Amino acid sequence: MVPSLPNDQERGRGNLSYSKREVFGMTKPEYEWTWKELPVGNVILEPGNASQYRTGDWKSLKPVLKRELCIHCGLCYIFCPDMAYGPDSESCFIADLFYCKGCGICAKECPTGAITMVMEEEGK
Amino acid sequence: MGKRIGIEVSIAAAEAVKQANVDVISAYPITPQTHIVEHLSELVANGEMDAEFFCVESEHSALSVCVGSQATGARSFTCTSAQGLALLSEVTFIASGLRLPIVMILANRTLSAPLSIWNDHSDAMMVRDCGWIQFFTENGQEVYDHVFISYRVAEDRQVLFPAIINMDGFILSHVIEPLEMIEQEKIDQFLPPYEPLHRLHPDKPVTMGAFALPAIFAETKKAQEVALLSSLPKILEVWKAFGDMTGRYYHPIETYRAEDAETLLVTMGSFGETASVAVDQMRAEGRSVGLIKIRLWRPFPFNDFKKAVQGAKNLVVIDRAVSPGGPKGPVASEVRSALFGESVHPTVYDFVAGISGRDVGPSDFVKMVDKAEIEIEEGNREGYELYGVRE
Repeated sequence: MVPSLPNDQERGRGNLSYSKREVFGMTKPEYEWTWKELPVGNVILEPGNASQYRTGDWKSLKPVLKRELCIHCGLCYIFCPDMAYGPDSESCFIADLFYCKGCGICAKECPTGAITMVMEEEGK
Repeated sequence: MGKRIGIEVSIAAAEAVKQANVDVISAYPITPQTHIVEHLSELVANGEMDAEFFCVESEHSALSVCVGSQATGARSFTCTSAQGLALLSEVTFIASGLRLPIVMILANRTLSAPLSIWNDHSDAMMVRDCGWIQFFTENGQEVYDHVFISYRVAEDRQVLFPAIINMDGFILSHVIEPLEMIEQEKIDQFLPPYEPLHRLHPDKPVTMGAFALPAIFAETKKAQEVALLSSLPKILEVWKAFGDMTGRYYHPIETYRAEDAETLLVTMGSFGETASVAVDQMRAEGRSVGLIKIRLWRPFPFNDFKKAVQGAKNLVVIDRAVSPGGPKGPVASEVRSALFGESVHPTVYDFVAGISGRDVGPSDFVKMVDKAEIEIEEGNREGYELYGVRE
């Protein structure tokens, strides 16, 4: 049983662009914090807020799935080092590009060659 | 008044750790710190002390365990020397950055090479900028007392910094001294149980030690630096409370017969007692010589220092570490910086003496004062010498 990832609405992140997104994971973007406001020892008091961190903008290549080749084996999901993969409504595994760093391990591991890495801006 | 007994300083330090109700001890034995750890492991093994003793595989792990245990809210202790400190030095910056009030005794020893087990301050100077509160002690009583003082200062909500108690290896660690032990009830009153501001606990998950991008790192360091500087009034407050309890009052800068002295010796650590004997001798000869002892190394008490040396003509700073290729000895460099902005200030002459445990007796202090006074009189404004080296 593979758990599915929450969607953007469930995460409450809507369509915010990266520039507006908090990276330090607190209630406002890191560049708005003054030194006086920081918690002692820079402790992060909100559990689980790493899910709000867009690692997806580190990538230059993104995975594209050819659905007709997908056998639903889940190897991409298992091997993904960032747990970016989850099943969609057709039980195909799809990378959440908010997190996917474009490492290409999924494409390397896919037994049917269903995943190819393409330049992000070309793969629309 | 507590019981006065003859006791080896290392054993007294371990007894203080027991009396301070420390929950976690994590340490790796290294000369000359060994007796402290040995005695603590005995106390725990014999059931005389209710604490976890972690036998770790290295000093790096020793302090790492303390970081973890302190983060869960356990009062933690470690101690080390020289090479051990070098190995755990990485974690010292982490402990202060996370604001975890760990207390560490540093039985000061020379860093290799050449390999040496004897005393100097090269290890302490290596971690000068690690962001901990750093005390230097002059005798066994001060070591014992500062275990309680350090925990109370470090754990204060207005402070929350780890603290190092520097004690000269062998010169203090292996000497049997008459010490006044404090009654347990008094300690319990002076040092309440540790109540962490944030702790690792499943009921309220937090993240400690997350990374910071450049956009916020400088803010974290500014917060840390201001907090360390602001700990000074709290340290004074705790010293006052400790003095009221025991009659032993401590100050960031201690003076001995320094009033109106033309020449002042400046020392840190166990040098202070020997130097005071030399000062007595010179005063008896009618010479105008006094002594300044720096007890608080970090945060450096600039104002107290400037006040203490006001009016003096010559400062003879005795360093116990070399700063290769740097601005002479580390203490003298600090002292010169402290005085640079003053329109009138004494001339500083710097000796590095007693490195790797070489004996420095009262007559050596007299010789150093003699030489410094003559050379400053002759116009040497930047005197520096590695004292006692055979040409």
